[in-house]
Amino acid sequence: MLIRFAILLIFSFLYSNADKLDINYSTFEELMILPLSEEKIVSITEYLINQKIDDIYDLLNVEDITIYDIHAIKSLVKINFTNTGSARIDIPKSILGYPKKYNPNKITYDQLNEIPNVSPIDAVAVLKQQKRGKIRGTFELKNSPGISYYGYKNVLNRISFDNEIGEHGNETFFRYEAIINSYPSLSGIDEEEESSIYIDRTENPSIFYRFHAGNNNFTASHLRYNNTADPYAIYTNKMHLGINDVSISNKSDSFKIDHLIFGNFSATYGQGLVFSSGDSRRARFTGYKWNKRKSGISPDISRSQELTLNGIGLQISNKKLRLSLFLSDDKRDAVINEDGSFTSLIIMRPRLGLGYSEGNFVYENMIDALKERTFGGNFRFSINEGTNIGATYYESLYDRVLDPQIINTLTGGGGDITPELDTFNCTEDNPIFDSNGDGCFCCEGDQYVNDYDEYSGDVFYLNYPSSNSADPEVEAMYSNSSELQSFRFLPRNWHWKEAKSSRRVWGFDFNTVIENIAFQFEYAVLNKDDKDILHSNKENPRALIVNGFIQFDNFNILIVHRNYDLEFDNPYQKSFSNYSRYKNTILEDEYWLADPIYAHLAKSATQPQSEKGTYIESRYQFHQNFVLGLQWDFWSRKADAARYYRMVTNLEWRPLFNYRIYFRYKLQSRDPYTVSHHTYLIKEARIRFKLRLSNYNHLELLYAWNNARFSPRPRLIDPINPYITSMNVGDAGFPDESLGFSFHHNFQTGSPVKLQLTAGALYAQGFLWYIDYSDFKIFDTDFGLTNMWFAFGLNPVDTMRISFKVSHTWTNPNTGFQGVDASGYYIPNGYFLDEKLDYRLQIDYEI
Amino acid sequence: MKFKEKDILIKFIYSVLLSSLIFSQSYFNRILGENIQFGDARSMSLANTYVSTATSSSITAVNPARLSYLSGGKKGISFDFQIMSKLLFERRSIDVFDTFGDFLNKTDYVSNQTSDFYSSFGFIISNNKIKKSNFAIGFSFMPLASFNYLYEEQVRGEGSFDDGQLIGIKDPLIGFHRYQNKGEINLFSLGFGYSHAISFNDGFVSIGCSINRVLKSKIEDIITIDEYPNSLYFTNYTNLSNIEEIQNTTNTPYDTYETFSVEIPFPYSKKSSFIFSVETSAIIKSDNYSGYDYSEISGLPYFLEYNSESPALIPEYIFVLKGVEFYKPKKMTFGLRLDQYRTLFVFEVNREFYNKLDENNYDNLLNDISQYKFGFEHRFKFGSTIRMGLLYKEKIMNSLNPITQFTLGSNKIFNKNLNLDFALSYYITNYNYGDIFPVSSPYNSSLDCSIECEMITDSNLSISTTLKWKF
Repeated sequence: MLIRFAILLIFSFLYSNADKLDINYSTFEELMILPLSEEKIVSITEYLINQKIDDIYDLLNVEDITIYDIHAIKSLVKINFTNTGSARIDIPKSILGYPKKYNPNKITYDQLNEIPNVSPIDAVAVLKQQKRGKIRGTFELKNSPGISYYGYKNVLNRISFDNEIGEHGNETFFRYEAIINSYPSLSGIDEEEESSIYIDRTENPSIFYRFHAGNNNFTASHLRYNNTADPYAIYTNKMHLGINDVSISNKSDSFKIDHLIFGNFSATYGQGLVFSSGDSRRARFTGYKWNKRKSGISPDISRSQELTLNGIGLQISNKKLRLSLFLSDDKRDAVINEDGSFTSLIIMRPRLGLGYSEGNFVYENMIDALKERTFGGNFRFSINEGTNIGATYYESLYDRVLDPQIINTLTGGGGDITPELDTFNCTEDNPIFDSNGDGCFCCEGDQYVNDYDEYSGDVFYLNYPSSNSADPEVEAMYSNSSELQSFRFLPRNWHWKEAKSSRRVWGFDFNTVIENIAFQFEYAVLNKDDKDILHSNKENPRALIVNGFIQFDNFNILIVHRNYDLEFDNPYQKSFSNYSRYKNTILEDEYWLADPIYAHLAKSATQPQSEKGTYIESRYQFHQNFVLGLQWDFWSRKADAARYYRMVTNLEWRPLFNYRIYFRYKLQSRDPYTVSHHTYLIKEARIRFKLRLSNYNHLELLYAWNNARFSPRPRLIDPINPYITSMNVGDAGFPDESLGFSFHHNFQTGSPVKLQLTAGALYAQGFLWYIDYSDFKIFDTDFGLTNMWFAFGLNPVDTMRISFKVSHTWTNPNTGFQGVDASGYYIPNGYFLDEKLDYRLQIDYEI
Repeated sequence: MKFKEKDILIKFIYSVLLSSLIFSQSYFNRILGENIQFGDARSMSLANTYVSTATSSSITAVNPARLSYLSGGKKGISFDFQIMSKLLFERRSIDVFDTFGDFLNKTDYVSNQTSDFYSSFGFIISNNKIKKSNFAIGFSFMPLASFNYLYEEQVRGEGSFDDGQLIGIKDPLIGFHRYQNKGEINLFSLGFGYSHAISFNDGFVSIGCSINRVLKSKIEDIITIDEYPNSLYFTNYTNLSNIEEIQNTTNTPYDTYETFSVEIPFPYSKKSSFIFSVETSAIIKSDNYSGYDYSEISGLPYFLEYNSESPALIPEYIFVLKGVEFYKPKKMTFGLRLDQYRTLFVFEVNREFYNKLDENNYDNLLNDISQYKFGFEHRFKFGSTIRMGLLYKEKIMNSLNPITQFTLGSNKIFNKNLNLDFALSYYITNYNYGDIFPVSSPYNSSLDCSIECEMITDSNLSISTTLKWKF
C-alpha cells in the first residue's frame, strides 16, 4: 500500500511538474497561455532571450512585471535552469581586474616583483620555470622551483594563460574613475600621524578624475586632482602618451622598449634610496609583502602632485641589461625667502600658496614657485634571473638659489623687535638664559626669553631642551648656489640659463636570490661639491640600506638595516624608515612658525628621517589555526642620537573556519628618561573579532586599548612659561579605550545589479587609528567621540561600480578649557562641541 | 470633463502623514527666504530631486510634463496632502585664546532651536482619451519660502562671590536678546502636461507648462531686549546691547512666474528619461522696502546701522531692513533618470540665477549657483526600497561655504494600497559673522573677521515619513 502510494505521489508530482511551463525554454506562443497581457509576455520573452532565471521572482526585473503578476503565474510555471546560491554574488571581473594581466611566459622580474605578496624568491622561481619550458597552466606555474604557496596564489591573480595576451598586443581598454571626497587629504597613512587643527579643513571636497586608455603597446591618460580644501582653481593636471613593450628586432634576446613616455611619468629605482618620484609616503616601506615598489619608468597615473616628472622617459631592456633615462621639466611648490631664494620644496595639503595668514607671513606664493629640471637614469646588469647590479644617478637644477633660511622665513624673522615688552627676569640659575652656550648668562645674544613677546619660534629653534631635540635635521637642510647652468652629464650646449642651483645624487644597488634567500643592497651619495661623482670626498653625506629575506611556506623573516646621514637631504628618497624627515623638529609646531602652513614641511614630508637602525619582520604559521607576526625595529635618530624601539606582534586565530580573531599589540618607546631626553612609552592593543557569513557578508567587532606615558616636556610647562603650571598635552598615563562594530552585507537582489551595504559605529576615547570603508582616519580626543558611517557599493553593470560613503563624527563636549576672548575677557569654562561630516563618492568604469 | 462614476478613479494617492525634523541655519532667511518647496519623502531621499522624481502634485510647479504619466496612463483624480515640521538648531561660537594670544579653541556662547510646521496639498486629474497620448492637469498649494528665524541669547552680568562670603549666583542673568522673523510665502500652481508615445525606445515624450502664483503674505520682524531689574552694579548692564526694539509687520504683494518642462526618452531603458525644466523668476517686493548693507568685516549682509550721534538712552543701533524683497530666481534644471533592473539612478543639475538681482542694488553679493544632485534607488523583489542621495550646492555668497547634503530613504509596502516612505537628510555648515547684538562701537573694530567674527555652526537633520494610501 505504501509503495503504491509513493508511486502515485511521484507520478502525480512528475505529472504536475510536467504540466507546468518551463519558463526558461518556452516560446512566445507557449507563454501566451499565461494569464498576462501580451505586452508583458513580450517583455518576458525579450528578457529571457538574454538571460535565464533561476527564481520566479527574478521576473520582477522585467519591465512592467509586478508581484501580482508573479503570484498569478507562479503555479503555472517551473524553472529547471538553476545556479548554486553561493555563486550568486560575483564581483565584477573587469573592475577587479584593473591591474594589467601578464603572459606568464613573458613576464619579467620587475613585473613579478611588483605584485603584492610575491617575494623576489617567488619571482625568480617563475623565471626559472620559464626556462624549463612553456607555462601552459597552473600545473607548470605551481611547480615553479621554489615558489611559495602565497607567491603562487598572488602571481596567479595577475597572469592570464590566454595566449593572446602579450603576443598579438591588441587588448584595448578604457577606464574612467572619479572620486569626490571631503575627508582631509593625507600624504600617506601611518598610525602615528598627528591630527592638526590646521589641516582639518574641509570646505571644498577633493575631486579626482582619471581617464586611462590603451592596449598592450600604447597607453594614454589624463587626470586631474585637487586636495580637500584647496582653493578654487588649484589642482594638479597630468597626462601621458606612452609606447610600451615594443621589440626592437625579432631576435630572441633583442632589446625591447619597455616604456617610451611623453608627459607625466614616474621613476623608481632600487629601494628608493637615490630616486623615487611622487609624493606619497609609507612608513616602514620594505619593498616586500604588501609594500611593493614599481621598478623603473612607468606612466604616472597616481595622485601625486609634487615631485612628479614631466617630460620624456625611456626604458629599454633585454634579459641582461636595462637602461632607464629621463628628462623632466616641472614646477614645484616651494618656500620662498624674502630675497627670492628658496628654503625648501614643500608638499601642502591643502595647497594654500599664501598660507593660512593669506600672505601676511609668506613672502611669495608657494604654488609652482620653483621650476625644476631633472635628468637621471639607471643602468642595470642582470647576471642571472635574480641577480642584478645597478647604478642610479640624477641631477636637479632649480631656477632659484637653494638657501634654507629657517629663522627669517620659517619661524618668522629674528631679533627682538619690541624689547620694551620683555618682562622676564634673567637669572643665572636657569640654563636657558645662556642660549648661545657661551657660558655667559643674560648676555648679548641670549635673547630667548626676551623674544617671547614676539611670539615666534625664533628663540626656540635649535634651543633644546626648551624646544625640539631634532632641530639639527632642519639645520642640515641642503643648500646650493651654482653657476653651472647645465647638467653635468649632458652636452654643455644644453644650457638652462635660469638655473641657479642644483642637487645631484648617485648610488648603486645589488640584489640576488640564492635558493630561498633574497638579499638587497643600495648605497647612495649626495654630492655637495662640483667634483666628479667618483671623487672621494668624505664630507659628502651618504645613505645605505641593506636587507635579507628568508622564505619558507609557513615561515619567513625579513631583516632591514638602514643608515642615513643627517645631511643626506634627497627629496626623492623614499627608502625604509619609521619616521619622516623633520619629525620632532620645530617644523611640527604650527604655533612657532611664521605661518602654520610651513608645518607641512614635516607633516607631509615624504623623505625618511635620518636614522640608523635595524628592522626585523617575521610571519610564522605555527599551527593550522594560528598565525603569528612580528615587527621589531630599533633605531637611533641622527639628529639628536635619540634611541627608539617599536615592536608589534600580531596573532591571528581561527577557532572555526568562518570565525577569526585578530590580536595586535604594539610597544613603542624612546630611550629611558634622562635629563636631556624626553622619553615616552606607548602600549597599544587591539583585538578584532570577525565573523564571516555566507555570500561574503561579515560582522566585525573592534576593541582597542592604549596607554601612552610621557615624561614632562620643558617646552610645555614651567619654568619656560610661568602662566602654565601643568602639562597641557599628552595623555599621560591615561588609558584610551575604543569600541567599534561594523558589518558588510551583499544584497541578494537576484538581478544584474549588485548592491552592498557596509556600516559601522565607533566610540573612541583618546587616540585611535581606524580604517573605515575607504579612508584611513586618526582620532585624537580627550573627551570621547562617536563615529558612525555607512557605505553603499553598487554595480549597475559588470563594468561599472559606484560607491558612496558618509561618515559622521560627534565629539563629546569639552567644557574644561579656559582662556580669553578676542577682547581679553577671561573665559573660565569654555564649551566646545565638535561635529564633522565627510563623504566620499567614487565611480569606476571600464570597458 | 465628464467622468462616469465607475471610471473615476478617486485616489488619495497620498493621504500623507508626514513629519520632518530639521536642524538648519537660517539667519539669512530674512533676505533670501529658505527654500521649503516640498516634494515627497521619496524624492527627498533621492537628493531632493523633486524635478526628476517627485510623485505628488508638487510636480506641477517644477516639472509639469511629469503630470501626464504619473497615473500610469489611467484616467482618474489623485489627491495629496502633506504636513511638514521643522526644527532648527544653530550654535554661535567665539574664539578662545591662551595667554600668548594663540588660538586655543572655540566656545559656544549661544544655541537656539526652533520648530515650524508647514502643509501642502493638491490634486491631479489625468485622462487618456487621445490615442497613444496621456494628458493631465495639476493643482498644488504649497509653501515656497520661509522667513522664520529665532535668535535668543542669555545676557549675563559679572558678579563674583568668594566662597563662604555671600550666597548668590556668579554671573547673574540680567536679560535676553531676542531677534525673530516670522512668515512664509505660499505658492499656488496650475499646470498641464501632455505625453505622447513614440517608437523610440518605447517611451513617451512629455511636455508641460504651469502658471505659478506667489501669494500675498505677511512678514513680521521683532527685536526685543528683555532687561531684568537688578540692584547690582550698573556696569553689569554694559553687556546688553543698546539696539532699537522693533515689531514691524510687512504685507507682501503677489507675483506670477511660469514653468516649462519637457521629458524625452533616454536610450538606456524603457523608463529612462532626460528632463529639462525652466522656471522664470519672480520678485516680491513690498512698497516700504529699504535695503540693507553688507558688512565690511564678514562680507555678508548686515541689517544694523550705527548712530554715532546717539544721545544717552537713545538706541545706538537701528535695524535698517524695512519691508520685504524676496527674489525667486530663474531656474534651469537638467535631469537624467536611468531606470533598469529595479534600480533607478538620477542625476540632476539646477542652475539658479541670483545674480540678476544685483541689477537692483546688491553689488554682486549674490552668485548664480548650481546644485548637483545624485541619487539612486533600488527596489527589492518584494517591494521595499533602499534610497540614497548626495547634493552639493554652491555658495550663494562668497563668504559662505558650499553645502553638501546627503539623503537616505526607504519604504515599506503593507499592501497594494498602503505604502510608507521614510527619508532622512542631513547637512552641517558653518560661516563667520559678526555679533548680531553688538555692545560696542563699530569704530573700535579691527575690520578683521578673524578677530571680530564668531563662527556660526548649523546642523540640519531632516527625517520625514510619507504614508501613501490609494483607493
